[in-house]
Amino acid sequence: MKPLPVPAHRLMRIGSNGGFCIVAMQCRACGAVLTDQVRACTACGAREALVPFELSSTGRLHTYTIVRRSFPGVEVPFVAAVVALDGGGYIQGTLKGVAHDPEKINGGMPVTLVFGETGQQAESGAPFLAYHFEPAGEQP
Amino acid sequence: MTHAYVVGIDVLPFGRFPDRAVEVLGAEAAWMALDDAGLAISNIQALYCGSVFSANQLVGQRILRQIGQTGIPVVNCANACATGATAFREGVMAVTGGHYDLVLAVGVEKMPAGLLGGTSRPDGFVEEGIFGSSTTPALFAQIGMEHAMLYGTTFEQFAKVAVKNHFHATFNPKAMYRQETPLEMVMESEVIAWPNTKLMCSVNVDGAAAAVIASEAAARRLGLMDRAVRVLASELTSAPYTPQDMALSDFNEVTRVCAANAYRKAGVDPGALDLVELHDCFATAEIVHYENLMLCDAGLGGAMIDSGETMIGGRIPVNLSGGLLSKGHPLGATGIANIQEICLHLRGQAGSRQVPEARIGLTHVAGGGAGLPSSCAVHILEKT
Repeated sequence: MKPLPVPAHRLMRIGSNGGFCIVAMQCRACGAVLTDQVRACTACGAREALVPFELSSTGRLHTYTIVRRSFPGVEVPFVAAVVALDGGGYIQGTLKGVAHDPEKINGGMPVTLVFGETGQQAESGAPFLAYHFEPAGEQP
Repeated sequence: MTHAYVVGIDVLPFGRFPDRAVEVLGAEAAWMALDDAGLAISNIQALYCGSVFSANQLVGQRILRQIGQTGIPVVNCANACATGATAFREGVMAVTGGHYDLVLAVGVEKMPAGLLGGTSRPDGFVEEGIFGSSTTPALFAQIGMEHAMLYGTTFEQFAKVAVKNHFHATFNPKAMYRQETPLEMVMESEVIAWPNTKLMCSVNVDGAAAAVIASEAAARRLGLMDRAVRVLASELTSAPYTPQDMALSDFNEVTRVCAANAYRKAGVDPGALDLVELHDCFATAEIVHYENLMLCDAGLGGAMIDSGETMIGGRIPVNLSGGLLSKGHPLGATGIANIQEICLHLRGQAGSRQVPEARIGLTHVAGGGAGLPSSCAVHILEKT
């Protein structure tokens, strides 16, 4: 039997719609959205105030870079990006589906979060699943 | 208010020293600082030693074995790129707190080769390229692009930082690279992570720097007040919470808070500064730190490099040493080396790059890495 896929990101979960999603934390005391696993609210220090918070699959490009030199064995170029998700939370990821050209990548452009296989496999043979960003809607 | 004074300080020119152990580099810098003050290791009451890659291997004690194992207290510390400044600050606090009146701070580093950062996890998954990038050039490229997307800062403006700092290095005999790089050369060199090209990245080198820190009473007793530089502020911050810090390590807010604390403690305005040595690990960083250190208003960092104000002879020269872009960046040594540059100017010993009648200077280092909360140190120094 083929091994089940393994999520490659610690915050990836099966979402309410049956598909993948990213589950962060939100503080009931101050409202901060935290995209890391932490013991108390990073923003206000409140204990036992954190509840799971499913990140939106849409957002806007906060910043990016076109990586042309990376660690040995890593395929370049690629676009490393940080996205501000609608409704709160920032995450880092790779932006696909854009030219590797700063003229074609716009600050604040809408993007969607897409889940899929990475081409990498765990020792068990299970495929690693991850997310990336893609431009949403029509691009100028 | 009690102040600490720098009475001796020097830098071992940075480079690659495969044949010299880390404690040998540290010992040489320690001797240079002691010689600068005309003191011996037997005069020193405590040693504060910073080294990112050797702090967990008793590097300070090993330095003492090289130059005199006097049994004084040694504190070894690591704090990313703020390591040297953190060690220096420990010395300042020990003196202003009245514990000692003559201490030594050493920053020393033997750097591993290549791009800093790792690629593999215990489960074998390679995140790089899948979840963005964890290289330091990519991190600071994204910090620069965040600024560009907010304020319209251009590739050319970022590139001008490298042009300026490499030009400054031609006046510094101790800089590793002393070669002018015209704008076209910087912009046409290999792109590492847009918009940072190879000539807009600091150089990975070994190095050491050291400082002798004294109380006013000790400086007077030893007849060293003529060369003493007063430490007006010695501030350290860790990254405060910001909404994007968990995705894009913050170097802005941590610097803003540290700088504001330092100006308040020193009782000076940014306008009172005669020169600044700030953390230009990448060209993009210098522009954002103009604003974070309040050398200009938010959004005007690009205009500031265009204006020439931060160039030698300008209103507020920045990185006259050549900065990390030219001197190289041995992590633990950097935070004391930039204090040395300011001290040279305040003592009127900076040679052809001397800022005329320099009275007050500021140093800044900010350290961290992709996915990590950062660290920042700011020192404000005054001529006595």
